[in-house]
Amino acid sequence: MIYLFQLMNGIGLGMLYFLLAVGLSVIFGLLHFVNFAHGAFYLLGAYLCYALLQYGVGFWGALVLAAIIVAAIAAVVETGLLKRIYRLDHMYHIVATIGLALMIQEIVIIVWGPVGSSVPAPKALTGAIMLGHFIYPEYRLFVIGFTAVLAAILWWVLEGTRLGAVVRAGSESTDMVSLLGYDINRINTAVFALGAGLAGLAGALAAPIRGVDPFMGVEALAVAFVVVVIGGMGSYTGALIAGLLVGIVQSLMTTLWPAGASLAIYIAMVLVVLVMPRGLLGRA
Amino acid sequence: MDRPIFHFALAVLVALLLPFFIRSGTLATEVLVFAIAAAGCNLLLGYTGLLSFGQGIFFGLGSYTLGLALIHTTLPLLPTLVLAMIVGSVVAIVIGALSIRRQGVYFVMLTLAFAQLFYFLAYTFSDITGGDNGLIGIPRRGIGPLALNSSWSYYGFVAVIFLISFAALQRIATSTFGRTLLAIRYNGERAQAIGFPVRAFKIAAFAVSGAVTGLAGALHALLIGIAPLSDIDYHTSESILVMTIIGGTGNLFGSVLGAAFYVIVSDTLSAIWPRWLLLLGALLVVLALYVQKGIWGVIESAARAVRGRRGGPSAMKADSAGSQR
Amino acid sequence: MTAAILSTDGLGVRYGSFTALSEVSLSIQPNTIHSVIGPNGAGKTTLFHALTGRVRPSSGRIFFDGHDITALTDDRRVRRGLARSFQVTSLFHRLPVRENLRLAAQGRAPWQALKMWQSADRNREAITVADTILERLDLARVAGRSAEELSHGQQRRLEVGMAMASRPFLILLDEPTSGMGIDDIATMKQLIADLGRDHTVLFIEHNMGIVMDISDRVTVMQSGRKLVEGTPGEIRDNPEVRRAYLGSMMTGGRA
Repeated sequence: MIYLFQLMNGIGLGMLYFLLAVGLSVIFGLLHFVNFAHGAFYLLGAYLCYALLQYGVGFWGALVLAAIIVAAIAAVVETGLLKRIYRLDHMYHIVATIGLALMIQEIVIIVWGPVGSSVPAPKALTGAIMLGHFIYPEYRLFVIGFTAVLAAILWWVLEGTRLGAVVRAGSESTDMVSLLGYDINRINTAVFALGAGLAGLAGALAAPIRGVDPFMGVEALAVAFVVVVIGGMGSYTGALIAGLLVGIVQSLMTTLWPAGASLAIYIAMVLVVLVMPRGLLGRA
Repeated sequence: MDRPIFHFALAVLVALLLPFFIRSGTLATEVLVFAIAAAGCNLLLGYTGLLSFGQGIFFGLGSYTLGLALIHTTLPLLPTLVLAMIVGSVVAIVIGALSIRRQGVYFVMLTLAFAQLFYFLAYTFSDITGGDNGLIGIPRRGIGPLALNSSWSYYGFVAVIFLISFAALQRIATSTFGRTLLAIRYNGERAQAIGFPVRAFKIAAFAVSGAVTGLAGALHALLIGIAPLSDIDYHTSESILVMTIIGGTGNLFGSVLGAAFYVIVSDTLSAIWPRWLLLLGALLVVLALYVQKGIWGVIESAARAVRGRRGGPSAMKADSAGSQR
Repeated sequence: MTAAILSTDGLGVRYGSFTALSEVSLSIQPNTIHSVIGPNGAGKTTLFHALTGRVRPSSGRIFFDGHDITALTDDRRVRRGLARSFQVTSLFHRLPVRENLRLAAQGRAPWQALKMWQSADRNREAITVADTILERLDLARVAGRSAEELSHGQQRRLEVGMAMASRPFLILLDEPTSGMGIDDIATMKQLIADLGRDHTVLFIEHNMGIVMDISDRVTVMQSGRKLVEGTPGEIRDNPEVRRAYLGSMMTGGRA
């Protein structure tokens, strides 16, 4: 029974990891840009959700607004700053986004203090569902359901819409996409904002489960990287499978060996690299 | 400006002058310790083109090795330092060999994930590492009759090691090996196509970097008397990288400047404003946008402006590219 | 009939479902100049990638100097005496010309480059080879300039020099005259002919003048397969070859 509980937790966690990783993956696929500020967007999303809830905004509102605000901030950052460094060696992408992540982290501490907070789950979801002998928190179930729907929508956007096709085409050749008449700059900004927004959303969703603290971005970034390495860069399905894998392994380990939960995912990553250098489903 | 001997002279100057500008022997020693680490990082980054987030692993392991050796054995100090270098080197070889299986960005991510892995390993095996508390009570043994107890006598000791390490790294950087690393950085595919087993060379670069960084970690543990968990965490890896980049990856002395800048500024600023990292973040963004060559690049440009252009265009290109490193 | 220095047996390269090379069997005689021609997309560069080890063949085998080298990595093939130049110039752009060549010369004995204590200037052998090639390629004047500062023609010559520097038995040149002007082409043509005297040369070319004038044998490729092979005269008169090139390219004549 405890395993089923942890399994469900793992799925929920895995879906959040998926949201984190898919944004990073798509950003890299299209922009060939390593975004070390990705964890900071997750952090921002969590804190914005927390702050909005404090101001009395309803949960749904806080969730959506947090994601949108993060996406907007990301769009501004992309247009104002990142566009100027794309042409540089990726070392400078890393330096700039680390700098950005630091700035965001410190601003969070300035505004909300260095100590974290717990975040209350919305009243409608504070209960627990009972399925036979199995009890599971409503909020966590909601997270699973909500992210599943989101994943489906994302899939539809990527595969079924013109925007998605352009993004996928852009990953192959940005020149071609420009020649076809699309404004590659706008697309880049949109994709970056979308990726950041997803990270922010993941943070907002995670807030009622694990609370908020100024350093949650660092851990999130590391996990996002692991998921991307395992799942393969640029792959939606890779991010999904790897995200779930990592989330489930981590959750199950908490029952068997609490201290080793984090350890397990990094060991898993090493194994994948040894056995499958391209990741599960990655492209070159 | 480009001669290695000139850079070494500058390094000597730094070692001699630091005590006059920094009141605290501990802080001055910390500058040199991280200068060693940054130079080791630069061998990978500036010379081989490998951006490794794993330097904290080697630093931390060097730190633990020294701690364990001095606490639990009667090994004299110098062999302990050598042991720390060996441990750093071996681990670097393993991590390097695994990480270079992926290229570019993937490589970077791998090293970061390894850094996390070792952090959690150190946390988990708290029986050995002391976990959250770290290894406390590391005795500062002397060398024979030479006592290193006072902060300035230890500074002197570290300064000597710093200069030896710097000279050794310079030697390596200007050797055939170092030139090959440069070639690998500029065009790894071509290097392979002209006959170089690029993998082997990258691993060798890791071996050297790991040894040097392990040494720095050991010296750090001896400095503060503890082998803390933080020596092996992501933040240490990130700081070493940041120092290396701020200083300028164009040459080894830049790393010394970067370390000095970072250690001194973080010490002074953090006392004034706890949120000084905000400024550091802004500095990094500005660096990426406008000052890619780092502090050394700024100095070079200033020197050139003052002296007027000397030599032909290719002499100018030799700054971060060339044969005169 | 002397033994071939390079031969392939049913060589094939597939990228996923796309077949770039199929059933290619070659036999190159030592000390000959052998050219590979064909329309774009014929698989010529892929052939070179497979021969040099940059790409693993999906089928078939490669023999060099009597040994099966199919499983050898590209760096190891260089050490066996097989070197190439690239169609798209791929130099160490920020490094001086002399350094480019020194590195290429060093590549023949790369393990010596692991000597971390030995200053690069003591690398007498490699430096001597580099200097010799600088002279031979008429690049001595620009020896100290970075590769990226050279003119296109000079860069293409340096490209060839990089292959020569490892003192190979067999040199593969991929479109050595690509993008060159008339004068440079003439120089390159003479260089390839010279190389043929003490090396075996296999080169890809679109300039039919050069192909016809200096090749001992010509292999024509199309759609990943070997279409026909023979002396320049045989190839020039071959109707299938004409068809493959849509008729208009077999003008021959002077470079």
